[in-house]
Amino acid sequence: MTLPERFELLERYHDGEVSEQEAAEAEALLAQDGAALSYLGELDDLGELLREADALELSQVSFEGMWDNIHSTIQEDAAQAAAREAAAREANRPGFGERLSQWLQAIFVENKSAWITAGATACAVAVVLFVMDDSNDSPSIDTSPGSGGVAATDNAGTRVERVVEKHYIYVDSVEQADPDSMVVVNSLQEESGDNTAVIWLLPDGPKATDKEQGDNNEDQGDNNEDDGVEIEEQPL
Amino acid sequence: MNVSQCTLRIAVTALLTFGAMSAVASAVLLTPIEAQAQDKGSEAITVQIRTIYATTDAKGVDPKLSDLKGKLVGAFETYGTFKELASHQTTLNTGGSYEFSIPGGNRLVVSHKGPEGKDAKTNTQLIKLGLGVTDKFKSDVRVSRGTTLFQAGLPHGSGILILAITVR
Repeated sequence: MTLPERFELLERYHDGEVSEQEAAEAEALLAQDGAALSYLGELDDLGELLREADALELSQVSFEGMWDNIHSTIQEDAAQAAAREAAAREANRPGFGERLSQWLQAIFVENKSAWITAGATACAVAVVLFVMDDSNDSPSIDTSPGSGGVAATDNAGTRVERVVEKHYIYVDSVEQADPDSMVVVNSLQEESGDNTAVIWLLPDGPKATDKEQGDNNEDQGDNNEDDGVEIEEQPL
Repeated sequence: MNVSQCTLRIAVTALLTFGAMSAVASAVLLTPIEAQAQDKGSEAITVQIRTIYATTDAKGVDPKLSDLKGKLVGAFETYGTFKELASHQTTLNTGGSYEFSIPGGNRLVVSHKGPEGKDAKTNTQLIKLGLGVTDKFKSDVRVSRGTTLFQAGLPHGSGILILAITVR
């Protein structure tokens, strides 16, 4: 056995890492060789020194709050990881236009049936309201100028009244500008009750009166200080 | 489809339907209010002026004047033929006036002088107009909307001119 092999055997014997046969060999060597025995003693001293150093170092370390520190360190690491993930998501977040497009798509495309339903309902409501509004209109007879209105009719004991649009004309004043002519206001009451007003301008003055006017001539005004024909306010 | 998506669809449908109904109802129901405001004396009026050539021939009434036939035949009994020569229509606000040429070199002027009182019996709003033929006469009249009055007598051809002035 070489010298290095002896030292290696003694080191493993000192650490208790030898088999029974190797232990017997080591013990035989220690019995025969004083140097081997001295080497084993040095190994013991060295081990003792190392243990003392470890104990000294351990005496200077406090384990109080160790788990709290570990836990806080874990949490801090987790927070940093979450922050990194949030930053990554923010960096990959779609822009405002893209988000608006996605929102509009969700409303209008994915809810197409909602729009169809709303549109159909709105059309139905519009038709109903339009029919209701139209049926409330009156009168039901032609009341355009000249048509003549019908006030009321009786029908088998049921009185039917229809709204008649009445027309009113008031001639407040007439001023003649041509001294050689005459201005006459004529009115005619129609069967409907409406009055038809005619402002006659007779260029030949009194000579044309009998020829141009109808039998329903009602009124002629007297000349006033303005040298004109003036008609007082009168319903026609 | 999960519950939240179903709920969202129902909510969107209800909201859109309600909004559409409100918009339609408002549009339909508010329109008559505007029309009533017109009847309550809003300033603008529409004036239609038709120039009619009347003669004593018995040829009848121009079909264009069918709406005035009753008035024409009744007010101008001595005339048997009524033919429309021209028709003008204009919209006047209070203070506005409209002037146009009449055959024969004269000019008719119609002025809108604004709402002026109401008929005592029916509470119908009356509108004051200035009406005149330049160098011939001028007059002030008050009429209700839908009224037609006539100015007649200017010579034309073998008959006379009748101006039918309708205010709406």
